[in-house]
Amino acid sequence: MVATTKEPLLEVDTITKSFGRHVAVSQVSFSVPAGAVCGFIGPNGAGKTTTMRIAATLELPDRGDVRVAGRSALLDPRGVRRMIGFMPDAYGTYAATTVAEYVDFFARAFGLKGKERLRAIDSVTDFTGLRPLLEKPISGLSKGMKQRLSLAKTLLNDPSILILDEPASGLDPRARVELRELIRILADQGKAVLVSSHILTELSEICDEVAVIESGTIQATGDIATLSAGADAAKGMQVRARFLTDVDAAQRFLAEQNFVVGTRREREGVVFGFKGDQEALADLLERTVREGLRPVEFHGERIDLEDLFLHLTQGKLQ
Amino acid sequence: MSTKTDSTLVRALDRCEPLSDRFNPILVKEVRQFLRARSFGWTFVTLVVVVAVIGALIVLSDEPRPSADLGASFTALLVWMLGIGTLVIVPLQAYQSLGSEWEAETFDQLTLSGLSPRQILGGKWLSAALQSLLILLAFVPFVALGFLMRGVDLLALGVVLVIILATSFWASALALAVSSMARARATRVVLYVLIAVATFMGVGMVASFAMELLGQPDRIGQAGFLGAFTTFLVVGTVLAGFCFEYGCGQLAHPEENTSTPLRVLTLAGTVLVLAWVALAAWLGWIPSRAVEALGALTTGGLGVLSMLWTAERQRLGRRVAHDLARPGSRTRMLPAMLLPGGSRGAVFSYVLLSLGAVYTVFGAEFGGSFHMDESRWLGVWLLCYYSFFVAMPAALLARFCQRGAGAWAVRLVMVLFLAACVVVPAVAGLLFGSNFLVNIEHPLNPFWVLPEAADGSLSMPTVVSVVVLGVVGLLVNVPRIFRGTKEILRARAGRFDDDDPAVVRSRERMLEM
Repeated sequence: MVATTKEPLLEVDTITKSFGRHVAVSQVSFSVPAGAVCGFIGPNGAGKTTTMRIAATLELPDRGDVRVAGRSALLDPRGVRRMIGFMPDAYGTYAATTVAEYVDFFARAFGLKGKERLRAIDSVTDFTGLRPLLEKPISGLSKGMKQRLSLAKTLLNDPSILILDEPASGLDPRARVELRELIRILADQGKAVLVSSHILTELSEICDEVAVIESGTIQATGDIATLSAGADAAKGMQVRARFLTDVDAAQRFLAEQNFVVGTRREREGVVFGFKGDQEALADLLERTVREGLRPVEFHGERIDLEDLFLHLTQGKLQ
Repeated sequence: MSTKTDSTLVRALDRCEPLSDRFNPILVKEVRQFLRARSFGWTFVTLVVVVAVIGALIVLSDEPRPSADLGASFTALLVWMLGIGTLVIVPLQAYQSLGSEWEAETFDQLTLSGLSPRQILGGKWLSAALQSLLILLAFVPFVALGFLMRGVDLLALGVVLVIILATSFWASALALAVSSMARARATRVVLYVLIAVATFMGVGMVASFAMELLGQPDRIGQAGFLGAFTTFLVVGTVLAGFCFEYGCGQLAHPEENTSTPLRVLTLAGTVLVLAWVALAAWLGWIPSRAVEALGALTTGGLGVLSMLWTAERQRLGRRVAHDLARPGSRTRMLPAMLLPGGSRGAVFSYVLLSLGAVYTVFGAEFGGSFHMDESRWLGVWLLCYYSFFVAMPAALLARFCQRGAGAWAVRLVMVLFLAACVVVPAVAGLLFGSNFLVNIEHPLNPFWVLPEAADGSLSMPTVVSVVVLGVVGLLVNVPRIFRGTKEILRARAGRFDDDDPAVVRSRERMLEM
């Protein structure tokens, strides 16, 4: 489980689910606290959607359970549904319906009445920027606007937990940026957000923590910084250095130093792997200067979410 | 919330905004959709235009002074058109409406919105009823015209319209129940065709009955008509209620208790039908022998329906078990036979069919003509056959009922077992040269035994054999019933069969809340 000081709002507790002989998820556990955005990453067919559908009470686990603010998805699905908002990867809309009617229908379905319903509709359509499109038929909306509509519907009952399955898929760059901003605002409002995406660079900008899944099993969970540091230690960071003096001499010098692995020339500089910590890297820089190699650029590039994903998964298919 | 393309009806609906809060959300959505959709508009306009054109042709082709036949011909046309609109098109649209929720991937969203299966199906049923009413209202001027052409009795016309409307409601409930059963597209297409054929046949039956009634309106005043008519309405409504509740069960969460509402409704419906028949007999609206026949018919019908709950999966369901353990929960107060599980379903069926059997034995008393004919025991033979042909295979194959497909396979086995029991002795008779068996006149053939019993010509060895079959079925079920009861007692004591630590943690957390 993700170590956190906050009480988790969403707890996925050792869930296992099979479809026939195919084990979709096995012993999956992680949690998301209030106010956090948790990226749920994994290759296609890793079990992300199955896990999210179980958390949203749409599938039953064979073993294990999901708790939402202490309520069991297995034993009290209706109680859980009141607290979650689920935005699926693939969702349908009704024919011959306008944006206003669609949102209005779901507001009624959530049990909102009278002014409370109108306030909720105003609130979500303002938040998602759909207000100018209220009278437009849904069939005439762009993919990005349909995603916003789905998000608006998801937010109608003011859920404490948002489960978003590939919300950015098919969106253009601007729509992605806007969606990312909306998700961050929602997390800042204290909601717990579980979001899956294939676009890892985007997740790294909004996620506080990640859960990495492959072949139906969790490979790692935790905040990105801790996981990156762990991956750095295991894999080593990549250091890029540029020198005013003889680059070949610099490469020979670096290759002889502790913690340095795999030096190579790159334009006017040297790129090498470094398995030490930040202190050791500072020492190396000091020695390089003392050696008279005159570095003008010397920086370690920390592992990003994409590297972390590649480090934690092995590309197994199931 | 209106668009530029809104019809007057939609705008009128929007003006009723505060009032619409009280309506079922699905009903509001469906009404908005069908008022804007082309299919309903075209159906509506086509029916009205066809009636207007053919009606005009009938009028123009007749003498200047309308004869008695003219009104009857025109009303016959109306009945057919109304029947096609309300008994075929509306139920098929209801069937499609539920199916489209799966095809358009909107059903999950409905589930997550917190709408209960009863609200979802109820909204769709009400919407179908509203469509039928709208079609009927559109036909009111033509109905009035038909009456003015003479040759049509107003009361008979009223009865026919009530029958068409009621049958339309029931057909929609049936279509929704069937629609809730299948989600695979291929299966849905097959079921759609079957429903279309069945509803067309229904229109034919209703139309021929209507013609007979309109041709002989004095039959309405005859003794027995009121009893038959009201019994028809009561039985149809109970069956429609059953279809509705069955459909709700199909839409519910797999761990929810879908059995109890259906069983309670079946029990209440059975009591209502039997009480109504008794009252009608007591009032002299139906003959006393009809009580016996209706009692036996009800018992037979329950025997068939019992295939549903006798072949339910045995396990109680984790959510129901949790409810049973919680002090003060309503589930805890329920008798075991109303709780989910095939063994409890078998007990429920034995109780229900026993009720029907007892009623059939003593039912004629309500008409004041108690007699000791052998035909009174029809209900008992039906109970015995239930025990042998339904309860026994369900007990022997209980482990295959854990999944929905398995349960349906077991129900199919019940039918095949019955067929085999009828046919195999006949084959044996051919081999051993026994005419008695070749003619399928043996106790394993209910289709021979029951008519013989109705005629009061059953031999004692046959009677004893049928009772033995019933007892064998009951004895085979005893261990299963014992296990089912034990499961309930354990759950009530807070002891559960699953030892999943995550569920135990959830249960503890929820009990703390």
